[in-house]
Amino acid sequence: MGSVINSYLSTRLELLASRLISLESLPEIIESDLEQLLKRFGCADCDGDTDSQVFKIHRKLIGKALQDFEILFRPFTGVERDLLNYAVHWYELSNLKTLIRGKFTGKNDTAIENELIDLESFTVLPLNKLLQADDPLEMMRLLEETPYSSIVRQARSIFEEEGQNLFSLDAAIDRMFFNGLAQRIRFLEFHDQQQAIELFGTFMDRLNLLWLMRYRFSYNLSPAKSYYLLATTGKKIHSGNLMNLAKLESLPELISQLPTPLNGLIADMTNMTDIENTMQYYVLSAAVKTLKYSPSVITRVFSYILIRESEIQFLHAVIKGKFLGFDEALIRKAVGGMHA
Amino acid sequence: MIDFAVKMQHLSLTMLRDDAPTASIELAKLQAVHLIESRNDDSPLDDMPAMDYQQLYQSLNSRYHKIAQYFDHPINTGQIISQAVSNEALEEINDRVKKIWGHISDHEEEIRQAKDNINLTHQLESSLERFRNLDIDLGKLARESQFIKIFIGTIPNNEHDQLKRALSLANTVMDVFHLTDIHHYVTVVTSRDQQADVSEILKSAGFHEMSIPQELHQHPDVIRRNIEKQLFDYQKQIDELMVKIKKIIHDNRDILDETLKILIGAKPYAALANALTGKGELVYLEGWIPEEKIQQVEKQLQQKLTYPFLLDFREPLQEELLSVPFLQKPSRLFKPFRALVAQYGIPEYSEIDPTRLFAFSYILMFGIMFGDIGHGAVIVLAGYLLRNKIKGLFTFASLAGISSMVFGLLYGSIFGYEHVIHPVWMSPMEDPSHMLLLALYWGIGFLVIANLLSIYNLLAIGKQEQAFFSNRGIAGLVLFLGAIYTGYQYLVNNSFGMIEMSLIGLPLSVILWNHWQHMDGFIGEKALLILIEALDNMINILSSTLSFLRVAAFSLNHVALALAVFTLAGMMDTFGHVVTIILGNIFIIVLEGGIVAIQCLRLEYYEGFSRFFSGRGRRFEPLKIEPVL
Repeated sequence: MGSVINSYLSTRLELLASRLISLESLPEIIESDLEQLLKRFGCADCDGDTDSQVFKIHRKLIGKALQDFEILFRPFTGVERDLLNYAVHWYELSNLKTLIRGKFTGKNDTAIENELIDLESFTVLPLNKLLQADDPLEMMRLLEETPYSSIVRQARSIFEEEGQNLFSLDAAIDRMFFNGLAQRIRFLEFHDQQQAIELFGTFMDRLNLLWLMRYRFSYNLSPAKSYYLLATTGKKIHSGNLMNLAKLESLPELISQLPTPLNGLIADMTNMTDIENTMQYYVLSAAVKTLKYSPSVITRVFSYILIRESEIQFLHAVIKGKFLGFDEALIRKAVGGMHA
Repeated sequence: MIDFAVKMQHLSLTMLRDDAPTASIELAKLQAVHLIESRNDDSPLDDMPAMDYQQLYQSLNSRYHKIAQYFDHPINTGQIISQAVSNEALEEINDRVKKIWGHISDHEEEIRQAKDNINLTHQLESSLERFRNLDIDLGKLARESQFIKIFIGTIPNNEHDQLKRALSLANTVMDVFHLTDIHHYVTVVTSRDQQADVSEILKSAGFHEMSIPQELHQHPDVIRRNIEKQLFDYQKQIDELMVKIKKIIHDNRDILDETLKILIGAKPYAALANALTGKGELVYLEGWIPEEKIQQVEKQLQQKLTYPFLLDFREPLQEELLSVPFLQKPSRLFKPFRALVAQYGIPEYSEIDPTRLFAFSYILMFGIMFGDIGHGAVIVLAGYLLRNKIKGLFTFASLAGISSMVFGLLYGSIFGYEHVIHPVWMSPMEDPSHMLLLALYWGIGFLVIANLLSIYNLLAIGKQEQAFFSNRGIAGLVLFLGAIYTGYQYLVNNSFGMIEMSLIGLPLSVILWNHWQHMDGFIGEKALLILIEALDNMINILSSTLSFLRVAAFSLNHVALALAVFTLAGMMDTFGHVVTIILGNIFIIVLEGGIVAIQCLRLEYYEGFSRFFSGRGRRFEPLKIEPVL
């Protein structure tokens, strides 16, 4: 990439980064009343019941983020553009999960459609066609013609076994996504690749750790199944560590066996929310550092996507909490680590 | 030469809800109204009464088309007379079609399964040899064991590493015995107490179990025959299912024909859904209508609607001008040129329609740049021969070809021969400087007209300030003429005095001052931008004017290319000479003709359109009865 484009992107990134919600303004947002928040984030006219209003603002936030991503991605070509476009397909996978879940549980099309996110130019799935499928089997036949055909076999076996929890399909979709992302990072040029792997690895450490804890101690899955559902591409927790961790039988034992600095970070924690918040803060600190100082522009863009997504989650959680009438202390606890 | 959009009026129709489907059909038949989508403002009529109908329509339309893919003949909508369709009728037929599609969909699923089985059988066929290569007793694998469970099958390639490690945590061994581009063929050996866990993991990994073929102990010919028979059976099953689908369609032909009628009749009202608002029994819609169709619409609605209605028309308001759709008067002659203008953009309603001017200047420039009686005739002939394959080509090719022939006559050029006929005017090569000078004058005239059109358009859309003070307005025109005069004085009379300086300096100052007023930022930053703007304006005038030299350059190039062909032909014997002349002429027509066509378009778009028309207008798209495809 030429130095002119690099300078352009750095300026753009700085501009966009300056618009991210700062740590200092977090309490102000949590303390704002609902009406102010809706107005501030462009949803003053959102109507409907609580769920549909929360969906609408979530979609608006994602829509705005996608517009910014589109501007940021424009100068990139080849493997870099492919990586960035792929990263944004995270939202499309969310649509895919909504569709599959909705069709499997017999939800009506309008209700499913209301939960879908409009990805505009990033859309790959023929959403209308899939929505108009009369039953899950027809939808899976249509899905076989899309780039997501690889998950159809798993989806079919889950559908055939009525009553099976759909989370393992969600996990398979997530795993497919993160493995695809890791693969694309490996196609980058060496200096970009090193920087991107560092950030992505940190992100995956958090994700794998939380997933593993949940699978083993909340869903009581076997070590083998828990390990299989993880995407093994972390920075500190490598595949071998994960296998050993999966065999452990209790949360304190698992925490004590974590590599440094992760073991220190969450030592003595027994509550999943606290662990989740701490790990989130750990990842976002790394992303903010990367956004500010990394010499690799593509990695900085990648870190911006991560932070922006976290911001969306933060705002979504705060607004949802406000809608449900939760007090500020509870909301603050729930979103504790979502923004660095 | 200059044309304007067909005059539009704003239409508002208030009626009773029961009349809305009929109104939609009548308006669609007249193709007279471009609907305005509801703006969700504070109107008391804030319901969207046709939304459910639209969803029902879309659902029926989707099902019908899923069924239609199995029709033997394309859908024929030619003879269908459209009638309004009630919500109940739409619902009823939708339920019936849903059932029909349900049966077909079941068969589709069975076909998919049969196709999967065919793939698996092919996999089995290719892996038979691999099974033979397994260094174990296959008979034992096939038998159920008390302590051990063996799975044999395929997994997607990308699952292998993770799955193998995961299975090792369940004290399970996985071994690959064959590898293809897509799959790993594996044997998985586990203990009975781990079987459930392993089985679940394998399922998550997309494992496809293969039965161990009992035939392995048989003769290869017998195995092949068995596999062929299996494949034949699956194919037969698919064929039978296809026959069943066709039979379902045949048995329900009447319903499906009725569905098509209903879809055509329901489409206008469904299309109205985003525009129709209402409350209770009262509904309201807005749109744009060509002035000449007002009486027709009034008369038709009076005849067809059952209940009283309120129909209002008014001129577009100033703030609505940007959203009024653009409609041109029909003209067969200008149709291909309209398509080329539309490639750039649609004019705004108040702007001038540049199609005629574009057609005239394009054809003229094409002739000047590609003047040859023979080549022009070939272009006309090619247009005639391809008239059925490319719509509008004949008109376009005829005009371009005739222009080429006219200039060929003026230049005295036929198939590149410059001395066969006497030129009515002169051959471009006789006086290239004169040709270049004429091209320059043409360019100046072209740019002045473009600037005048720009001033008109800016005034028409209410941008007075820009019309007077911007580089697209009067100040820009004065600057352009001043620069041309200054250039002429300097080059011809070697003079550059106060008059010349003022003619450039004054309009340029006006343009820059106007620009300065609308700029944000620090003074230094603004000054830098203004300096760049000034340079850009002057360079732009120079480059745009010189850009038209290509008009003469290509006329010279045409002669030069022909000379090159004749020189090459001169080196050959008689037969080679004739062949070279023919191939050379074809080369000139295809390559140079193509380049000239593109260069003319470039001049029109970049030196013409970009100066005077935004291309941000909206095409007039009336509600109409359309085929459901």
